[in-house]
Amino acid sequence: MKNANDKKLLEVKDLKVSFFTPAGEVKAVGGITYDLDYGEVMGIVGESGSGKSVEAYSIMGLLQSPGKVVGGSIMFEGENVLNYDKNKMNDFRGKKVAMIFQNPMTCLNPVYTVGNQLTEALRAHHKDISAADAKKKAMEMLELVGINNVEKRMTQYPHEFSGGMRQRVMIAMGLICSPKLLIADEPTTALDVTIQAQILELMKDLQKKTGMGIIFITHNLGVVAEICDKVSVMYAGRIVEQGLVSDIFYNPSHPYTVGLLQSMPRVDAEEYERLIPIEGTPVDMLNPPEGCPFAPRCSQCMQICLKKLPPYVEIEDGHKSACWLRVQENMKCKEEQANG
Amino acid sequence: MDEKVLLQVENLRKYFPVKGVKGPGVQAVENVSFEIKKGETLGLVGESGCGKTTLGRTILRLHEPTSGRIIYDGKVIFDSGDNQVFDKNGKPLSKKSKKVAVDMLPYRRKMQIIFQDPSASLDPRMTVGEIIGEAIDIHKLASTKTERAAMIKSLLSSVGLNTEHANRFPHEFSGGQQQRVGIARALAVKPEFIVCDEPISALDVSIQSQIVNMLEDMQNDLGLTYLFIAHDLSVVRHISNRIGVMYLGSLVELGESYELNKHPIHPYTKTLLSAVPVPDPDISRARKRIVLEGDIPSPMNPPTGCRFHTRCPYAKPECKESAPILKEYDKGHWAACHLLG
Repeated sequence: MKNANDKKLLEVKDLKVSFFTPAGEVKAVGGITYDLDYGEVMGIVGESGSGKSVEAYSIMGLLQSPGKVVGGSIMFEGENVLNYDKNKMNDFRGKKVAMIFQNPMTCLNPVYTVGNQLTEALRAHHKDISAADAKKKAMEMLELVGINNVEKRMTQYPHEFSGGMRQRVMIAMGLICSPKLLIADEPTTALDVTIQAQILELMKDLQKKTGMGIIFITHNLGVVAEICDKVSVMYAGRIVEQGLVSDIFYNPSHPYTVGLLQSMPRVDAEEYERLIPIEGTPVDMLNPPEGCPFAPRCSQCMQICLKKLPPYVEIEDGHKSACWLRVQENMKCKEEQANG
Repeated sequence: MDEKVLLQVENLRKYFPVKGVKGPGVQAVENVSFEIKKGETLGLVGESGCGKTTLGRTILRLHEPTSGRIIYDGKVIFDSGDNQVFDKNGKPLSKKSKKVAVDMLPYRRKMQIIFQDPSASLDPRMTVGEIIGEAIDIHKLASTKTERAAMIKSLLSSVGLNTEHANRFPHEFSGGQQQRVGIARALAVKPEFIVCDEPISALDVSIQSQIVNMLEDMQNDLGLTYLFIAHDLSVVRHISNRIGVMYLGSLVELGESYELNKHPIHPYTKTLLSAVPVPDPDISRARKRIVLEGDIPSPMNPPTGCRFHTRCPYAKPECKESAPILKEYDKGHWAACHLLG
């Protein structure tokens, strides 16, 4: 499903976001690059504070002071979103890109009915639509996300919905203007596993129907394995490893990715195995270490890791990793080739 | 692990009355019975609102039970006095037991709890040393000030914190470190039994395994017994010897943790297991998932009969009428379901 002029849906290049706090500059996102095509689902995995939500907020233009984009570009269908003025941004947000959040209760307005909020989202972008048409469209959307008894549900308030149902309403609201990109920021983290399963099935289904691209932000590797085509693993504001879902799970090349996979107990494990945790604590973003941010916690840390940031190494087509170990391997490989 | 039973819970119920509503109110825990052996870890899983936290707290009598009996180390610590066994015709087979509600203070030394949210369960205005020291003071475990300070230091280092951290306040720590303080506080009184109420669900993925390993080490070193409450089945299965699955206040299945995972017999356990995401793309995409319709009903107005029948894909008419009893189907593997006969 390529665009006519063969432009990618989203291309993020060397995006840098900083927060200017009284205690100093916090480089929440320190130069990340990725792209996403139509119909693709990309997972962004990382711990809290790794910059995964900040990155998504900057695409939506939702960064709040003291946060600021300090470098890089966000190209959406060939246009740099960062150059949009306020009007253009308002048009872009909601109509072309929609976002759903972790906690649906705090994102829905408790004093308006669900129907009211759904039609509001639609009428904000289609000024000429009639009230009756808007209502009809809103009801269609609710049905699409698997809510029964739509007529009655439209007149109800968010507190009358359960957590899973509220997340469905959020999804309906996000998709009502048929966006090309959906950013889902931990959409299932606040939900129970059985409800999470329902929402994941729904998102997969809707993605197939609409062909939109999805950025799926989560810390749960199990969810990533389930729904994503590509994965970016973030640590301390940088993407440390990026690749297809099979690359990341079956051939992880960054010690942080390996550590994450080893430290998770698996529900399908045959017998008890002691977990191998990643030692230490996440990086203090106010005083990030020199060199590779993961070095202080890395079991294979070398001298160079403490001094210089590792560059990206292409391991296979589309699979890259930022680790000095891989850089060294790569150099050895080249030497061997040169020597015959 | 020896065969001695440390904790026994019989027909425990906990209802929370609701103002202006007739009837028993929120039926958070409904007729739960089980026992935990010394040195064992019993895991409790279930969706949010199924009463697992309430059950843990009721056992410690942080909530007063509505009815039932709790026996700790051979001594009855609570008995509502209406526990009676009846035969088919409603004739009492045993005498009504006596109402017992012991003073819990001596038992607080033996039974402790670790809470889910480490930042909310530590007093922000006390230093870590004071938080841990308070437990030592209440139970008069240290006779001199130097002894008290030495105890605090050794507790901090046993949970992997710096001894200088005693003078810091909770907000100066990360979530994982705060949880370590919470664990040190629970260990301060040298307990035998700890209720771990979702101790890792508020933590980052890379920190979770550190805490899980630490809890396992402590169990081996100190011979602790755990009731481990969590909603994440993969973690519970990892740490527990046996697992109890709860649905809407009732225990629906109980069994050895690996056996229960391999051969679940209750339909709810099956759906719960199939809903847990597996961090392996090939397996997770290939397997068949049972997706439950609808949401968990309100515990204020639970369904009649089997509480799961409204969402059960295999429900029969009789499931609506009578509540199934927990029966042993395999050695040590219990379930409450009419379908199993």
